[in-house]
Amino acid sequence: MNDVVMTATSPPLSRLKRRLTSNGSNAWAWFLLIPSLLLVAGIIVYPLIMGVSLSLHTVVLNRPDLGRPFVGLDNYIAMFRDPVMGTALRNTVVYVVVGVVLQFIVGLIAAALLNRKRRHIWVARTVVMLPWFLPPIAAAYMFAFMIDPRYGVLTKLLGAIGIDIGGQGILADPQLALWGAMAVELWRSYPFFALFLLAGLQGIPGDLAEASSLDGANGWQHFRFIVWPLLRPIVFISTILEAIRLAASPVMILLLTNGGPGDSTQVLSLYAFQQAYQRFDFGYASAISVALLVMVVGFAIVYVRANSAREK
Amino acid sequence: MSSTTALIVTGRKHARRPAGYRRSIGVLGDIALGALMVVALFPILWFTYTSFRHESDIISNPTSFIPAGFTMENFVATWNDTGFPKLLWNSLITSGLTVIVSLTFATFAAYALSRAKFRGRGVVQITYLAVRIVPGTLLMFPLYMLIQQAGILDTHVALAITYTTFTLPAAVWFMKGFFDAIPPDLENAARVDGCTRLGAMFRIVLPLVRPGLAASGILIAIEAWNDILFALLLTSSDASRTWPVGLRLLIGEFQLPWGQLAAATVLSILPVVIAFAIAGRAMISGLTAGGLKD
Repeated sequence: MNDVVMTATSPPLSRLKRRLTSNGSNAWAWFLLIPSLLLVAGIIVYPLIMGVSLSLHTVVLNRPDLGRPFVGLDNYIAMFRDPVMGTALRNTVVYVVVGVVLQFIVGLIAAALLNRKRRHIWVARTVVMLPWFLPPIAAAYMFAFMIDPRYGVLTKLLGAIGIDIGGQGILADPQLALWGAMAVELWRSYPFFALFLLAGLQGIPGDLAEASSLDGANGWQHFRFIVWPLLRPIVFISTILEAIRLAASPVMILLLTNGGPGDSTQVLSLYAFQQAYQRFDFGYASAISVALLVMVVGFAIVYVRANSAREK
Repeated sequence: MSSTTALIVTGRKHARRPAGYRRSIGVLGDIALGALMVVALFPILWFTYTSFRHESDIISNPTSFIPAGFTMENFVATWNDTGFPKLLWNSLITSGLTVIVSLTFATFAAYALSRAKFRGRGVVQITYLAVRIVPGTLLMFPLYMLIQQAGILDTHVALAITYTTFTLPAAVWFMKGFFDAIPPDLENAARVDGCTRLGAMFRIVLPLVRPGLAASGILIAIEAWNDILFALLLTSSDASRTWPVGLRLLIGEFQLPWGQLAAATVLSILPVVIAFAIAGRAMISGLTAGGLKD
């Protein structure tokens, strides 16, 4: 329909161009898109709906005798009675907020350092980005070994400058374990910010630095008034992506402490995973995950609003 | 930057600040960058070093930088006495399958999104990105039941399909950047000569984006190779168990000595490090949508 109207009103030249570029029909484009869209629908959309449905039922896989009765919001009500949920919620917020801030700061410094004109700068870029491509399990065990109370080289180095992490070790200390996991996460994940911010810095023309320098701006003023506003879209996208990833992925904590000692490093994503993986309670696990999704989406909406308000 | 502009620029800077100041800032930057590189490499090198030491040496002098001789015994023990080779093989098959499926779908989708202007294009693009926002833990449980019903639990295929969905968004984004960089005039010329849309894509465009295909393929492979979370839930035996899951179980089962744990880790990150050394530059440029110059 639209095509006909367009063709009727377009001048002959652009009509010819349209014919050449689109062949008058986009059937070929849909033909190419449909396989991946079907896959996304099958593996994301359907399970998403199923997941919400599971959270409203009792589903304990190793207890077939219970059946799968519809229980309404019982799984959600159970979350409020569950003392671990409070700890998990608090830890999730700390892990995400502190994690994003620390990774962002280190990533920004790294991006600035990697943005300089130097010979072989690509070697430095590749080396600095490497940890982000390594398996989380490799990062986890490398650090577990380095901060081991008896065998750890980092334990000894820190001891030499007066910081004692001997005795039970960081990961066995309820007060420190979450910070230990955060440090390993920082090591592996700050290159994500470095990568995005470096791309952003590369998009800023060098002339701007000269211009602001001529106008008498110092380094900080140049950063604050020229670079930062231009980086802001990238800052926005990268922080939201990383916040979502940290909230949703329990991998590093699973590998380093598995929520322990006790439940001191429990986070929502890991708690949900354990409910399913260790207790086979898929209903409760799904309810926790839905709650997590609602929080993540809520956070994203608030963040997007705040960002667009600032831009006006 | 040509030498004359460089002269002018440095001339201006000289007028404003002493030369020594700028030079020392530059040196400080180099030192800081060197420190970041050491921090990135040290844990990897330390574990590699540990993997070549005798277990008795690791236990008695854990933090010594001077080893009492090097040995291959950790690698030999890991290779012969544990199921690790089978685990690496499973990971290889799964990653390979994922690359084939994900790269094919992503290339098709990215080409369509790059070349066609149609209604709903924005929605389609957002759909791919939205995949990233849903927590994996929420999809995992229904997915487990779905795969169980399909009777393909504990198979390479089940894992590969799962990984395909999670690698697809990044791969589409990645490949679209490479397609956008190729002028459409090339295909238009071919199509005037009687090539079909898809014919032009296969014959003209795909050969031109070969570096992009390689970089995306490696990126997908690394993501599939590294995952532990989905593999924990979706595998239950050595038939399909991937190395991260296997390694975690080995540690629990055998109280794996540090030397062997280090050897197993080194073996499994070796392909990643090699792939990244070769294609890291293209991957970094591609991930930032061609934003990186020089």
